[in-house]
Amino acid sequence: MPVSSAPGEAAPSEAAPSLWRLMRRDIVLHGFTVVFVAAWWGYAQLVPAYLLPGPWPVLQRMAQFLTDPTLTVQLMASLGHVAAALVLSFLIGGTLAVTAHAVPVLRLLIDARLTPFLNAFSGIGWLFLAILWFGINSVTVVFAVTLILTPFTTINIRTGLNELDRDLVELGRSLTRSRLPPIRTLLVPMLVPYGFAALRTGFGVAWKVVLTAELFGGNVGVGYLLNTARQEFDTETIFAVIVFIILFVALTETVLFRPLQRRLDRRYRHG
Amino acid sequence: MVEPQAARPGAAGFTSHGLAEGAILLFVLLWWSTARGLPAFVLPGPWDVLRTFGTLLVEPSLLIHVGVSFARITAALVLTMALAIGLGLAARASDLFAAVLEARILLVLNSFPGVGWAILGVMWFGVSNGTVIFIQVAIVLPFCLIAVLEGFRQIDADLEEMGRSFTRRRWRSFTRVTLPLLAPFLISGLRVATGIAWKIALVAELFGAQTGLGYLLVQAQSNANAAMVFAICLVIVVIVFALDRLLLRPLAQAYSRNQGGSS
Repeated sequence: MPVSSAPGEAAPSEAAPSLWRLMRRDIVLHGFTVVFVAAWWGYAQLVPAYLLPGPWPVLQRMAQFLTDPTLTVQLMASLGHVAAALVLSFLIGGTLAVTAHAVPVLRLLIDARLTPFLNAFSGIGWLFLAILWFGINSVTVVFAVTLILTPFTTINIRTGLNELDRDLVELGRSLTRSRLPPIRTLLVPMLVPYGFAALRTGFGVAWKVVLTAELFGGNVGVGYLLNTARQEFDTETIFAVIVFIILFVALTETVLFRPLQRRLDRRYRHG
Repeated sequence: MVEPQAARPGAAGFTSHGLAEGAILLFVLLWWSTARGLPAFVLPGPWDVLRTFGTLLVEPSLLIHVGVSFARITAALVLTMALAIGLGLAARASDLFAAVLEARILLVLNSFPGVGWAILGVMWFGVSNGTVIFIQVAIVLPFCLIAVLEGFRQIDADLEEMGRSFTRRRWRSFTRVTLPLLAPFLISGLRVATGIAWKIALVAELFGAQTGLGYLLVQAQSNANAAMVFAICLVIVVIVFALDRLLLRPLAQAYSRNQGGSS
């Protein structure tokens, strides 16, 4: 790095160590990754391949998956399940939250009875009920994931509505003649960060449970793929699928959600 | 979490209570009348479910499964909390480890599919109590870790410094100052973890275990015993509810009051 020497001369006591520290962090992070993969490789040499395949065969299987449309198709199916469940849970959760907000008489029913019940209900329980009712198919998967997500979205949207600053809404109303609060300029901007946070947690939880749902109750999707690989003791495929999932979820979080959240926070909260 | 808003006294509170309990009653009635027209393996009636729920809690051969699941999840939660605190302390001691923990370990743990742990755990260690606990720890750990790290971030450094100025012994300062300051975050982490463990980490028992509620669930499903599936769901709801109301929420309230006095 050519930059490191220049500030080092200008302010030897301050800039140089901090720059070194910045570099050190990257070195340690990537070093950790390298050491981890090396340890994996080393341990894979010692145990049979059906227990732990090495990094190289897993990488080869991943490359094979990328050229072969099977994984893409299953990944799309899983994404479809997640998207459908997210939309449905937002509809249900949004309806519940808005009803509780707008109709005070129903608040006790929704906040103190329905939401805690849904929140305490086991995800595995929904899954097995869905299998009993709908059989092994995508309806089961979407039903189970939707019901697992619904308490999360209800609570998140409800918190957003509770945080709506009443004074600000009042002020907004006093500035215009219309009796309804100005929806586009006031309500939407105030709710967007909460809605987005709800979407983000929902997406994370959905990915965690959709594989379970597909494994036990689905006939397409990555979870289904995982199940067939498990039955055939195809450890390489299991590892390849897990690594793909980790990459996919970690990338959407770091590349898509986190920057977007930062932008939304800047724009709507302090803008 | 949305805490239930206190019902206003008088007519309004009475109406909303009436509506809330009335809706539940209506729901049970609806369930009862629908179940009458359907075979029991599709939708058992409320009475069937309640009776199965009763035998689940009374019959020793069934109750043992509830106990086994309870013991496993409790062990997993204790291990997870200890692990999370240990990792959090290490991250506090070295900012390089903190970077590795947050940008590598937590990121991967957080994106790791729970079923993946279940499949790998059974493959590596076979079917045993240890395996089930391992899978549950792996699933719950990221949630605890996030809460603990957040707690360490929020702790008032000045207060800790003051604690250190009172005693030279690090352990004493840790138990008397750091731990109480951390307590609200630990408890909120434990609350989330308890929920996740009972609702999702039960998947660990679905892969070949011979005991536990997960095993009962698989059995019930393969025998098309819908009443049992319902009853197990009910048991889990009751346990999660009771743990939260009787243990975790009072704990959270006690410690947040403590915290409020000191700051």
